[in-house]
Parts: sequence; structure tokens; C-alpha cells
Amino acid sequence: MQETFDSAQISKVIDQALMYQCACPAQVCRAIFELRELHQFQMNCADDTANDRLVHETIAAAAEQSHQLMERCLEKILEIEGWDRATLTMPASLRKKPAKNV
Amino acid sequence: MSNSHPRLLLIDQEQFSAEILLSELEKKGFTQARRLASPEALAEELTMHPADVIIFNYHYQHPAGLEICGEAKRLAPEVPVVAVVSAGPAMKRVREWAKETKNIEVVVEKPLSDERFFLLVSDLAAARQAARAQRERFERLTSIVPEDAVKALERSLDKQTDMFEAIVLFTDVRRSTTLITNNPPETYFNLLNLTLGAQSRLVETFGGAVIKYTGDGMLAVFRGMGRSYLALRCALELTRASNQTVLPYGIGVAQGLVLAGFIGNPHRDGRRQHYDVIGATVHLAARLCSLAEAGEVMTTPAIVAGARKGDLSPTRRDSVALRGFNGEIACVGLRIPEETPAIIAAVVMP
Repeated sequence: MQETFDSAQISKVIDQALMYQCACPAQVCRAIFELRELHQFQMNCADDTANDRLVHETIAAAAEQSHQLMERCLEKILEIEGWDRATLTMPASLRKKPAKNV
Repeated sequence: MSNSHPRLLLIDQEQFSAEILLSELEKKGFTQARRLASPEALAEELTMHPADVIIFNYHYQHPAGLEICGEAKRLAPEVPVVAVVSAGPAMKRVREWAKETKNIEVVVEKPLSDERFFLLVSDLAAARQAARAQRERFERLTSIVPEDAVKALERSLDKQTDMFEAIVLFTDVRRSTTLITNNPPETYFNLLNLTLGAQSRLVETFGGAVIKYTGDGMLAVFRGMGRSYLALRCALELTRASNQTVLPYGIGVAQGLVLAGFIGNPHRDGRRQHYDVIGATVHLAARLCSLAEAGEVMTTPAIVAGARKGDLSPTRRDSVALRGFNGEIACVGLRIPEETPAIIAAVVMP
């Protein structure tokens, strides 16, 4: 599965979104990690029958598509919010926002 | 929150996230949350500001930061550590490390999207405070309850009574009635506590156990190998002039079987119980003590022989009749030879 963001980059986004109002990028990051785990999980399954293979191919394809979609989404929202794309540093303006859900 | 002012220690290598967490914790009523200034300051921090809960904010780019949780656990093993970790590989890494090292109690996933994290911290702090209060209560109780009683309590219910060979040592202040009459109650109690405290320290030094204070005196037992020597050595030390300056007292030492256990039924009547030793040996020691003059030990020749203290010159020889014993029991009076070096410092007058 092709990855635009590596684990360190995604983790960095989550680490910075500890409990800000802008924790939404972090939730997208979580979804990306979950899709990677789903893809990895089905890769480890045995293909004992033709049916098995079809099931896993279906899951793999859906996971890859969803993963690509969520990575594009992350790319876009980081741009909209004004994150530094090179260092993945949260903009100062977002850091000052109060917590919403906690 | 039900608990009062939980003390939290935040370990976070990033200034910005530490500030957020501290601010949010304060909003939730955790007013005594502190951030660890630097990993090197951990020992001093935990000593100067004991924490109820340690919160560790893990950052993916600082994997070595986990080691500080191990250090915190080594310094304060009873304090729970909560790690806040981002989802994905970081979570997997920390969970595996926590499982392997047992240095983290709870791992919470970032972002913290609801109240659960704060409720968890509150619950852990309350549990820690309750455990600490219980521990302090236990320590206070063990200072007023004989050590043997604590050990007996820790045994199963059917083994809380015991019979064993022991040396019993009694002390009793001489002319206490006159002293009580001539001193204000507070002064007398201060003098008495000073004397009994010094006696207890000596008993402890020689491996004995104080069972109880008997008003103006003390009852202690010595068990195990070398008990005759240790008990007699202790008794002689108690006769030393410097240990008799506050309130002079006599000492009685006897050996034999004693019964130990809890007296009283906590489920009936007065619902009171106390640990005690009873039996003929205890009576004999008390009787010998009553015969002793201030600064004198009354004991039996058998104890002197058992203690290999045949070189001591008795101050006097006597005999005592006691119910339950055949005939009269020979006894000897002893005082510590002046040239014997002191074991511990004498009681200091207030």
C-alpha cells in the first residue's frame, strides 16, 4: 500500500492535537492508521480457498482506496489550516483555540 | 471530584503540549499538577512533591522518553503512571513496552476527546490517596501495637495464638506514687514517656519485642537463639546509672513457656482485643521485678548461667515463692559493672 505520510509524520500530527479544537486532523490520522492496520491484518490471513482470496482482495482494495482518500484528505486539511508541510508543525493560531470536547 | 487536591506530576518533553495539559487539568479541578522540569530532576521532584498520579505524555519522535517511566517506577513504585499516546504505531510500541516492563499502569489514546481521561486520573488519584491514608494509619497503629501482635494479625485466624519459650523482661518505676504526687501530671507523663521510650530502644537494640507498657513499666519478650544472653545484657544495660536518671526503675527477668495471643472477643461484650503474653513465666518476671530495687535486675541463676554471665557478681541472693511453682525459686540481684561500655546513649533529661 502506497503511503504519502509515514508513521512518524502522522504521529506528530496526533501528538500536537492533544486536545485542541482542531483535533479533527488527528482523527483523520487515526483513520489512516486503522486502515493501514486493516490492510496489514488481511495480508496475514491464509488464502485456503478461492473464496478466501476473493474476500481478502476485496478488503485490500477497499482499504487501499480508503487509505488513499484519507491521505488526500489529510493533505488538504493541513493545507487549509495552514500547517507547515515540511515540519508538520501546527499553526500558532490553532494552538490558541480553546478545547472543545474535553 | 471526590478526592481532595490530587497531586499530579506531568512528564512531557514538549513545552506546548505540557502547557495544554496543565491548563486543562487545572480547569478540571486538578490544581496541584506540576510539570517535571527535566529528567534529571525526577528523584528530587518525587521526594519534594510526592505525586498521587504520574501522567506521561509520549511523543512518537522521542521513543527513548519511555525510560523515564521506568525510573519513576523505581523511585515511586506505588504511584500509578498513565501514559498518553497517539494512536497507531506509537500506541503499539508503548503497550508492548508497558506489558513487558510493568512500568505503566494505563495507556490512554490521543487525542483526548472526552472526559474519560480526567475521570481516570481522578479515580487513580483517589485510590492512591486512600492507599496512602491506609498505610499511614497502619504505621501509626504499628507504633502503638506490639510488633508480635502485628505479626500475629497477619497470620491466619486459627494461628493467632502461640506458645513458645521466651525470656520475659519487666520494668517498673520505683516510688512512682511519690513521684506522681510531687509532679504535675504533664511533667510526670513526660518523664515516664522519656524513660519508657529509652527502655524500648534498648529492648529493640538487643532484639527483644515490647509487648506493652504496664502503667509505670514495660513488658518485653526475647525469643530465639541467644535470648538469655541478649535479655540479660539488655537488663544490665537498663540498670546503668545513666539510664536510671530520669525515673529510677527495677527490672525482673524470667524464662520459660509463655502463651501469646489476642485477649478479648472483638465480636462480643466490650468488642475490645489486645495482644498479650500470659503464663507462669510472666508472673515470675513480674514478681522478680517487684523485688528489684531501683537500678537492679532480679533474675534466676539459670538465666545467668544460660547467658554465660557467670563472671558477674550478684548484688544479693534471694528466693521467691510463687503459686504454681514447687518450693521457692532462687533469684539473684545484678547490676551492670561500671567498666562495661554503653550500648546506646543514655536518656537525656528534658
